[in-house]
Amino acid sequence: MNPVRSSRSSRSAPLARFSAPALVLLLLLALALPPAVTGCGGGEPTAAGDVTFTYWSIFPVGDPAESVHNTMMRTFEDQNPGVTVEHVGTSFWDYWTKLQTAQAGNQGPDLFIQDICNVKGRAKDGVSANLEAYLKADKIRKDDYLASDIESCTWNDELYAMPFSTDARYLFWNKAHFEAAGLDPETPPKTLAELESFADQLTKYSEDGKTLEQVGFHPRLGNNIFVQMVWSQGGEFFDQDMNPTINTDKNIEVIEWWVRMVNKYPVRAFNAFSTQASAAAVSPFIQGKVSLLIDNNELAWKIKDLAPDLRFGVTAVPYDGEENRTAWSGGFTLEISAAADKAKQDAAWKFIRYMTGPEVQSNLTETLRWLPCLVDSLDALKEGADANELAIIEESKYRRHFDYVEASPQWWGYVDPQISKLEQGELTSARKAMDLAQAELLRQIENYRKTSGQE
Amino acid sequence: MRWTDRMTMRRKEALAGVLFALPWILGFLVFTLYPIASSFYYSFTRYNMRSAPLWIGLANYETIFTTDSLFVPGVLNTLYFVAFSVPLNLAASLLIAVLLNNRTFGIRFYRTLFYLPNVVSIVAVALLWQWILDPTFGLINQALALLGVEGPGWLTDAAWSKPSLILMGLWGVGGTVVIFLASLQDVPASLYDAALIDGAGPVRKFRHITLPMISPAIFFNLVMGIIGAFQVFTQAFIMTGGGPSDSTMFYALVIYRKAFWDIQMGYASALAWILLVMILAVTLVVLKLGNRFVFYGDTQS
Repeated sequence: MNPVRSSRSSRSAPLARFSAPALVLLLLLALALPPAVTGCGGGEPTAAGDVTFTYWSIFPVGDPAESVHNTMMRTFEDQNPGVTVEHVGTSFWDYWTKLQTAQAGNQGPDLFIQDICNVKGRAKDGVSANLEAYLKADKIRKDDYLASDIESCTWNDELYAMPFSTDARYLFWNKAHFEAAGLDPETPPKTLAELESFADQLTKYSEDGKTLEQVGFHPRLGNNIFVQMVWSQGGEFFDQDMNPTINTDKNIEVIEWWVRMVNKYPVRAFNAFSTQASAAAVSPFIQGKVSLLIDNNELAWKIKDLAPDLRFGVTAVPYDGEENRTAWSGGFTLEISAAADKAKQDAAWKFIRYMTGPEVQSNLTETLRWLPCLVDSLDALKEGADANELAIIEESKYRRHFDYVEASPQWWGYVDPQISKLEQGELTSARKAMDLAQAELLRQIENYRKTSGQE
Repeated sequence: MRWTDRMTMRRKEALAGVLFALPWILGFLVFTLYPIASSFYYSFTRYNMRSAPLWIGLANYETIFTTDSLFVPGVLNTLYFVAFSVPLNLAASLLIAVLLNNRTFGIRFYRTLFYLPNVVSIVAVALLWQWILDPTFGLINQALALLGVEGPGWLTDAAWSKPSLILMGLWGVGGTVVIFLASLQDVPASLYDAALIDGAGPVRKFRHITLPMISPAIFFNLVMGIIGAFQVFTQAFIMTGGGPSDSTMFYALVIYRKAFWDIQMGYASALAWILLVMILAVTLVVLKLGNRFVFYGDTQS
């Protein structure tokens, strides 16, 4: 053999030392290594009959609620020997995309937290398991939960998710501001006209009239949306058959009021005000810069922590007639993957029953600062509650979630830009704006129909 | 006899090369080629990520071209961004590179300084600029106020929102500057010496020596800039959400909305493929026209 060739060969082809089968084996080992190293797809062997199910939540390591949530899981495991919860917590902001992508690739968890507003879509597409058999077997009564929550969790008259936690919107008012303006501190506005009139009396500018020192009420501050205001006045965005009704007279009337309220404040002054307020990373209501604000129950808990001396009241968002009393609400559900095997589904259901049962629900507000969905647990909060907490509990029973529209799950996102155009003066007629929004939503629905493959 | 002994040297080397490149090849196949091929298939389906894709032929494309209200604004906004941001970024980065090409004291510090914004996450940059562009407390309007000029609502005024994002893009020219700088340093000093003897001034030297000699780098940055600008997303997503009045509703944002708002992944895939074709078409045109002006050594390409 040519020595030069031999030396080159050994330098340039180090793989020659391995036999072909060894090389293939090495390659397969390398490919198999990552899951083995990370533990994904592996897991400890369990005794016969023991079940481990995977559970994804929005409580990652380091989250303030992580330890509380961990305690819930460990308590459940102690109460259910042989059942292990394999939990993965992900930041709220990344969770939804991660879950959606994992489920699309059949890599989703057996049990997961989800948004109550779009259960119907997951039920229809077979992502979430039907829970009716479990409800019957365990004699769980749907009436124990709020009808609006159950409705959002129902598709084709059957339940596909269990309501876990919720929130609701309220009108907060600053009593000291009321007194200073000569208003009765115990009488909040009950109608939109009153809200507007009170706001006018409560708004304060600096001496030169250029700087906003106190905002009476601005609909875009806090945690509010035009949908809440329209619902409270008896407006609707969809009819019984879920056809859009964006441009009804009632809706237009409320949107006109909304834009009038926004335009009461000069753009530059309000921008300056909101920039300053947001820099503090605390609600402007807590800072004492806003007199009336629509926000959710979390604001009340924050006031307790950050401004315990703030004299404030909580009441319903002004509504027109008892039948329109509404608190816009979001919330989380617990859902079982339809793709999970039966043993895991059964174990996951036990966990759902625990999380949505009285033991966890009664402590949900104290531990996670969320409102419980179980009505008895909600009512139990009344014991020892102050007037504001009582209002929060009572008003939360009027809560309502966004209507689910399959063609456009975030339909309000197609209406809001038209309202913004009105606020900015690009459009001058609320009717025109709502006509445009109606046309846009109809177009979205029509486009969805055209691309649904059902034509 | 070992199995490799039966192979020729060329084959052994090829095999070793392929095996060493295998992790990348596998990564490319699994994480790039497969998603690209999948999205092409999905573009002909109704796919909501929850149920199996349903074949609907050209319906997505037909709807996009006939009744999608965001398609045309998305394309026009993106073309506006490409048309102004690419030349501006090229000119600014070339100017900075020329300045940084001097052998003056502390030049390494300045080079680092200009590249520094590129290592900052675009999300952090966007949040920072949101403050800089704030109509009342922002640095820009404060500075304008000192001059007695009332600054506009940079991100809140539909007329200013796109120019604001284009100006903000200058913050990230560091990468392009580095490429220009490397190219400038490759220009032989003898050419400048010869020009000097012939009596050429700085402008002539720049026009007749520097520009032709760095034309491949200009061309490269132009093509990459166009491709990047067509995909503009993060700034608008974080700073304006597509507003005000859809003035920053760039094409990539339209895709995002369809994919993650409306959960219509098939439709979004069709939009993405249209974007690919648009980028491809523009790039091909630029390649065809641009090559005439690029000087690759002793022959023009």
